[in-house]
Amino acid sequence: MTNKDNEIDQTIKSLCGDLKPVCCVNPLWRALLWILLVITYTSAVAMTIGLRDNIAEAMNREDYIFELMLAFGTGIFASLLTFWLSTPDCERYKKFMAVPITLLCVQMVWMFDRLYFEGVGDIRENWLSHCWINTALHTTLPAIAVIILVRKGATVMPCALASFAVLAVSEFGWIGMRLVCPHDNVGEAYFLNFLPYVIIGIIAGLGAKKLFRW
Amino acid sequence: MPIQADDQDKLWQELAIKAQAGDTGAYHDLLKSVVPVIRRSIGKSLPNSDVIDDVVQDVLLSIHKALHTYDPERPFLPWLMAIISFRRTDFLRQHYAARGNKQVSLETVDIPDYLNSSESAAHFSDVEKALDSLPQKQKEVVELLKIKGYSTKEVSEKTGLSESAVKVTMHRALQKLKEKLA
Repeated sequence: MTNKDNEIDQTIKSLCGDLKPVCCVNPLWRALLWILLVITYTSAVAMTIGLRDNIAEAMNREDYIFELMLAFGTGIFASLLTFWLSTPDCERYKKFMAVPITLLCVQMVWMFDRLYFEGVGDIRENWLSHCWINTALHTTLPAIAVIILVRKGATVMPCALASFAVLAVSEFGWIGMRLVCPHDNVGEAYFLNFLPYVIIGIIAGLGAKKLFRW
Repeated sequence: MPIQADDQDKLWQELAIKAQAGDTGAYHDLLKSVVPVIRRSIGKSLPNSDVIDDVVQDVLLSIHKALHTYDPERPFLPWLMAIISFRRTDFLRQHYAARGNKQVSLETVDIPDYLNSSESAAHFSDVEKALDSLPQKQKEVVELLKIKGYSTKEVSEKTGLSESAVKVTMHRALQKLKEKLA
C-alpha cells in the first residue's frame, strides 16, 4: 500500500468519524417554500405601501394582465430551476431551462414591441423618489432568502443557478412594483424601475462561483 | 463473479441511504468502493498522476459535504459523476490559471548529461580549441557576452571598448569560429 493510498484511507476514516445523520434536501419543496414566501412577502409589501390607485382599471386591461402573468410564469419556472440546479444530480432538469428563457424572450419581444409602437412614454421628473425604491423593497428579502436556501444545497452549475436566481427574484420584484406603481409606460415600467436591478443582479451573478462555493 | 453495473448502483444506493441515516460502516464501504471509480474517471483527464489522489480526496470531501443532496429514489452513479466532473473541472481551472500546465517537476525532466557524454565532450573540445585560437580581445568578448551572459554595455565597461566596437569584435569572432568549426 502506497503513501497516497494511506492518505485516502485516513481521509475516509476521518470522514466516517465526522458522519452525522442528514435530512434529504428536496429541491422541489424548497422551491415551493420560496415561491410561497415570495408571494406572501410581495403581497404584504404591496398592501403596506398601498396598491396603485388605478388597480381596478388596470386589472381590466388585457395587456396589464398579460404582462403580470408572463412575469409570474417566468418567475415560477426560474425559481424551480434555481432550486433544481442546487443539487449535483441536476442533469435531468437541464431540458427545462428552455421554458423560462423562452418566456423571457417573449417578454423582451413584448417590451420592444411596445417600445416601437408606444415609445418610451412620459417619465416623471422626480422618478428617482418613486417606484424604483418599491422594486428594491420587493427584491431585497427574496434575494437574501434564495441565497440562504440555495447555499444549503451543493450546486455543480453555479453560474446557471445564479442567472435563474436573478431572473426569479427580478420577475417577482417586478410584479410587486407593477402592483404599486401607477405608471405603465415602457420607460418607467421596464427601464427605470427594473433594468438597474437586473444589471445589479447580473453583476452580483458574476461572483456566483464564490457565493455558491461548497 | 464480477458485479453488474445495475447491481453495483443498487448497492451504492443502499449504502448511501444507510449513510444518510448515520450508519458509519455503510458510509465507509460506500467511500471505499467509489474510490476506484473516481480514479478511473479522472485519470485520463489530469495532467499527471501525482495529482490524481489529491483530486480523489477532494471528491471524497465533496461527497461528504453533499451527502444530504442525494435523492434516495434516484440512482447513485449520476449524482457521483456530477460531483467528480465538477471537482475535476474545478481542479483543471485552477491548474491552468496557475499555469500549472507550464510547470514541469524537476524529477521528471530528462536532462542530458553533456559533461559525461563522450560524443558531446568531443564536440565541446572542438569549440574550446576554436575559442583558444581567437585573438585575446575577441576571446574575452565572446566569453563575457556569450558564455557569462553580460550585456553589450557591461562588456564595454569591462573591456574599455565602445559598445559598437564590442558588437564588431563579437561579429568578427563569430565569423572566425564559424570558419574553424565548419
